[in-house]
Amino acid sequence: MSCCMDWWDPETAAFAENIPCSDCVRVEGDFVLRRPSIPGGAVVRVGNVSKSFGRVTALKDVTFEVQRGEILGIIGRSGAGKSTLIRCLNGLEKPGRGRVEILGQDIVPLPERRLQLVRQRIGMIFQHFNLLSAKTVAENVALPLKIAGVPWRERDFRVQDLLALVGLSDKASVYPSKLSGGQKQRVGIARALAAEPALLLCDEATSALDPETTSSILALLRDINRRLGLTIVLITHEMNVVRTVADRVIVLDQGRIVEEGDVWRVFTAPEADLTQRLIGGQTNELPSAIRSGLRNEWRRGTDLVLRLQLSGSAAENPVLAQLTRDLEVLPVVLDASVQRVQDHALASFTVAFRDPGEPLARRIGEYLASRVSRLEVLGYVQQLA
Amino acid sequence: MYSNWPDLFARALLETLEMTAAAGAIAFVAGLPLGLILVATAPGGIRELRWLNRILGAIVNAFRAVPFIVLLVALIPLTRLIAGTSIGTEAAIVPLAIGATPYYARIAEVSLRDVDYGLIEAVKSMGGSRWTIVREVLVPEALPGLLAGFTVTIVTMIGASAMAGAIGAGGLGDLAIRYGYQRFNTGIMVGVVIVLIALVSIVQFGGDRLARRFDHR
Ligand SMILES: Nc1ncnc2c1ncn2[C@@H]1O[C@H](COP(=O)(O)OP(=O)(O)OP(=O)(O)O)[C@@H](O)[C@H]1O
Ligand SMILES: [Mg+2]
Repeated sequence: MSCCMDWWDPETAAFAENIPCSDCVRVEGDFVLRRPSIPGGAVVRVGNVSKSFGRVTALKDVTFEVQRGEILGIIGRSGAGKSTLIRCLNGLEKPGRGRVEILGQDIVPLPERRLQLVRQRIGMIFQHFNLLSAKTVAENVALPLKIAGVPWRERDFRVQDLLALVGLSDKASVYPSKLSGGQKQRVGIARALAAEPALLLCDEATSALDPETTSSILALLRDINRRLGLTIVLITHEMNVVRTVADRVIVLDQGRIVEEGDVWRVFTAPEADLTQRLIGGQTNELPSAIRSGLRNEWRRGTDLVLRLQLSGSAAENPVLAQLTRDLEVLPVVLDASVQRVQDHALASFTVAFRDPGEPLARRIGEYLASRVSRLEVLGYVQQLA
Repeated sequence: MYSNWPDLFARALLETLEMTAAAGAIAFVAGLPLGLILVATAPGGIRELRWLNRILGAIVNAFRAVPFIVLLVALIPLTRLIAGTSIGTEAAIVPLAIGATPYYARIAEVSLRDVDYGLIEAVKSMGGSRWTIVREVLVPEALPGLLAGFTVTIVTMIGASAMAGAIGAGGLGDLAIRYGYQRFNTGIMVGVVIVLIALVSIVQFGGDRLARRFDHR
């Protein structure tokens, strides 16, 4: 079809057709394979973007980049400005201040007609799918191609490919109302990919789906990202979504970026309070009987409760066994889990020590502090059963 | 007089059909774009233009406020200008169409405004122009409502065309008034009512089926 870059030439600031860039190769006649890295790197570069609606400040001085082939997750609570931010990336919303560069071109000052050409190469999927009810699945998927002026014969072939990609070949002539939520979102994804976008935007794409369907949609997005080298920006309020698919994460709070980094880093060592709270719900919770009995200071007959996290290679060390051997204490495991985030292991344990007395409690703390990634003294609780 | 009553009915029915069909076609062709402009120029529409929205809204309201019988008389000079005469079936098409257009525009506006804004955003995000949004989203998505609304308009026009008898337009209504009411011929009166009921039922039935055929929601 066409090269990944042929729609936009940043040098001449003009749209060129059918001039393949040095990073694309032709395979099997018409098909173009997009290589994941293109010199110049960033597909999206957002600089000092602010946006207010009347007196409400939705975004405040937001700056970040998205590299080619990367999946960036943007997470935040309701009203944090996530939707506003993602809508700035395809010009559905104009920022009050700042730059939004797509493939090196600031789209903020572009007139509507030019913006439409840019949008033709940015796919978007939505929480409520937004499929056209009067069109069949195939017609929905073909629409971006129709808008891009692709002849109908070519459209047909491409639609078949896309439906095969999302596993819905048998639903081509069905109307969307006959589909399940997961199937609708698959159509949404096929439609968003139709015009071979350089960037895919996902606004709460899995928030209306059940957990199982959510995983299958996330797996599909991950697969597309790997196979096509497609750059994806997805916003969500679910930490789990970010953990499953994103490479990098931005935490947004009241329109500001409060934390940014690789997902495994943010997960294993969250810095911002909000991030810790968002992750907190994900890792182990104490049984409520213990949590309500927690006190700050030791008294005779109470147990010390600690939470420790081990990340990366430390997660493979038998820290608790070593502790048992070296200090001759017997930790009781109240809760434990090992998760993998981007191939980084993250082990976390909640353990109790029987009536240790203050000197021993201090020694346990010191011993562990040097060996684990994160140590939290939760307190003392009345003798456990 | 009694001997040719089937002829009388056939002619009146034909005149009614001619008036409603012609004026209905005009109302659809003019009312739908008017409805589209009303929706597009409204606050938050795809081409916000408040002054135009206000002016068109006021004109539509003005026409809708005037009783049809008054409109019929008030438009006589215009009718004469367009149709060459102010009397007869063809002449009645002018005021009927002018009365029905704002009526249908409002009905179309309501259907078009009900289209989920998310769908408009989706097509916008694909790089669709305003025209694409009208063609691919607004009209197809609102089509069941547009057709149902058109059925209502036609039924209303069948009723209104009876008043056009006042300017010698003929039709079923005219038949009922001249023979049934003025000459106390109850048979003809009842006959007209039965034909009207049948006509309205057929139009409504056909319209409902058509609307349902295009409804995939
Ligand atoms: N069109 C608008 N007009 C006025 N205020 C708006 C508009 N869009 C967003 N806002 C406000 O901007 C803030 C950020 O909204 P935004 O929709 O971006 O949040 P969000 O992070 O997507 O939230 P959610 O998770 O609930 O979707 C909110 O306070 C919201 O009320
Ligand atoms: Mg939102």
